[in-house]
Amino acid sequence: MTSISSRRLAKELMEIKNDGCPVGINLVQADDFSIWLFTIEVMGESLYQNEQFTLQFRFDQQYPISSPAVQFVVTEGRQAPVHPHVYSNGHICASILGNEWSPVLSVIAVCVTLQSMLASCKEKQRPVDNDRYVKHAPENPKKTRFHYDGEV
Amino acid sequence: MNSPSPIYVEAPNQNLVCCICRMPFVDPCTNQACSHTFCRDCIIQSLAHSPQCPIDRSTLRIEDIHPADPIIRSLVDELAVKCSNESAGCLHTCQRQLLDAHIKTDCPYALVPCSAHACAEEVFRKDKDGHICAHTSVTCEECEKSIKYNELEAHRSRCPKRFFQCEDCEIEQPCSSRATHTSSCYAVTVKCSHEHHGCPWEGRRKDLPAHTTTCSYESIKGFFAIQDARNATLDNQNMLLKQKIDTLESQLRVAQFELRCAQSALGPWFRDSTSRSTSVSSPSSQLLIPSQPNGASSSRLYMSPSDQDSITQYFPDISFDDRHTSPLAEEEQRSQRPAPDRPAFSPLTQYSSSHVSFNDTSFNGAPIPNWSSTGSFPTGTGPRSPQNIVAPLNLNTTLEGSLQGLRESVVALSTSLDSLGRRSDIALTNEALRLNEEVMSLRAALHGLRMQVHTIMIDHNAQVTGRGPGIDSMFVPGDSQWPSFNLSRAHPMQNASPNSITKL
Repeated sequence: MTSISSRRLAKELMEIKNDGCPVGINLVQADDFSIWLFTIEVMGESLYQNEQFTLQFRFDQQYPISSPAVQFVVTEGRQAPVHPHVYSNGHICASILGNEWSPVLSVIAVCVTLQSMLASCKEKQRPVDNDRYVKHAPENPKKTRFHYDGEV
Repeated sequence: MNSPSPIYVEAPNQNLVCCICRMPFVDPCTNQACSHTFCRDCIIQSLAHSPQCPIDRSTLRIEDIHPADPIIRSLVDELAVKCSNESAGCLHTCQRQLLDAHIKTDCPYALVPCSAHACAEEVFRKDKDGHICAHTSVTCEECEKSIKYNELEAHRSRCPKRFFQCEDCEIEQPCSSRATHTSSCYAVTVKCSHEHHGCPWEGRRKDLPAHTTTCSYESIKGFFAIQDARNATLDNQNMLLKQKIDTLESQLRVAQFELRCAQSALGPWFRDSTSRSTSVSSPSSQLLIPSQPNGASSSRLYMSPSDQDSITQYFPDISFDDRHTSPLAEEEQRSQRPAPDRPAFSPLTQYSSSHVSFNDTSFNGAPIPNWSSTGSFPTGTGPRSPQNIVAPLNLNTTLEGSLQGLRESVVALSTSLDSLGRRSDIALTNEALRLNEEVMSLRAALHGLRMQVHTIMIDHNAQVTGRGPGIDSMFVPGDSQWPSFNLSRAHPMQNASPNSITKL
């Protein structure tokens, strides 16, 4: 029995393979319908010039009704970008990954949103409560109840 | 929807695709507020997750969802789809709304239940008529009886119309009597009935009675019966004994475990009962009371070498006979021995040594008759006191004895502490009295001195100014004034009148 999530993801994967990713975003791994990896870099003038980050998507059976778990990969020499909404363990405080998720959004849409979030950054700094959060953070960022204050 | 995901022949128009599942609408629904259209299943699931329109995030309730326009419905329902049994071989394509009917009635590759009454198998519709299942009846070629297909093999081996040839007696028999014939065939090779007792005879069944009359095992048949019965009882007994041993072993293991627990809890007091019985003595006599620094009690400290060894193992900081060992040698001893209790006891010995030095420095020179007369308090001149104050723990008695001894020594310690407190109280009072007297005498001497200075000053002033003694009224009330007033003349005066001071 193919679930709605795997059908939808198969569709998205086919679109990525047919049409390609937007500039600066590359699919690295999509072997199954549970974990996908993308590399993301910010094009043009920005604070993150020549930096490349890896994004990890984790999907559950409820996708696309519920949001995927999205975070930056911080192992094997990879770093999370220094950004006011990105914690050093890779977790991202973005409303579209939390309460403003909509089933209309797709994996590529999330990638593009995060890319523009990085591109519009004015100052490279960690979130103010980074140390406290990273110490107690759950493994899955979806388990965190972020308080969204900025416009992302 | 019967088939979960129909395969569309052509890529559908994007306007007919649900933005949640990214497939053409299935049972499309439109919400009245913002006119967005979704599949019914998709929007119901999405609203259960969060009550807003997935596209514009406006508030949306399930009551606002209504079936979409018939035009949209027909557009998606008329999309061409492939049969969902394509993988099985059906190449049929039709409108989506007709797919269910095709699969239900026409598709030759749809699975349908076997027409036989009791068969649970599913077969392709096209194979249904030619299907031979376990419940199809077939006719036996020999006896022409109607037999179920799955029972045919079994029937063949015992069909009364079929014959087989016995391999031993070479006589044709009907199949139906095959089982009974094998047990009665006179030519079949059989073994002696005493085979399990060791008889090696083997021959045709018809020779067996002849063998039985000559078989040596047959003659002791009764003995075998008795032996067999006895073996059976012995086996039973053996089994019971084995079980008993198992239980005993497990009990023993539990006991050993408990013993080890007790042993570790007892620590150094765990001893064999034989070795302890030789050295039983009353606990109080083994103990040293700290307020007895005489030779008799200190000699009790020195025990036999073996005892001392076992004790120094636990109290490495208390050296028994060579108390003048250098700190370096003591360090060596500590490092050589495992000393689990050392940290607990080293502060005690440190206390005793500092106690002695306290006596040395602050009170040795002071003339206090009370202290030297009691004689029980160590005055700190001899180096023996650190060892005498703390009695060693006796490990030769029972644990209760040692505890009692410890309690006694605590009682003795508290009494001696009490007497020490009282003695120091008395000493303090005496000293305070003496100091008080001295202060009084000093005050008197100071007063006399002041009076003399006063007289001299009056005389002097009278000589210089020629005026009368009326001026002294300004010196008497203000004592604080006159040191600054005649500072320059104070020294010669003190030097000039040593006699008047010594007179006091």
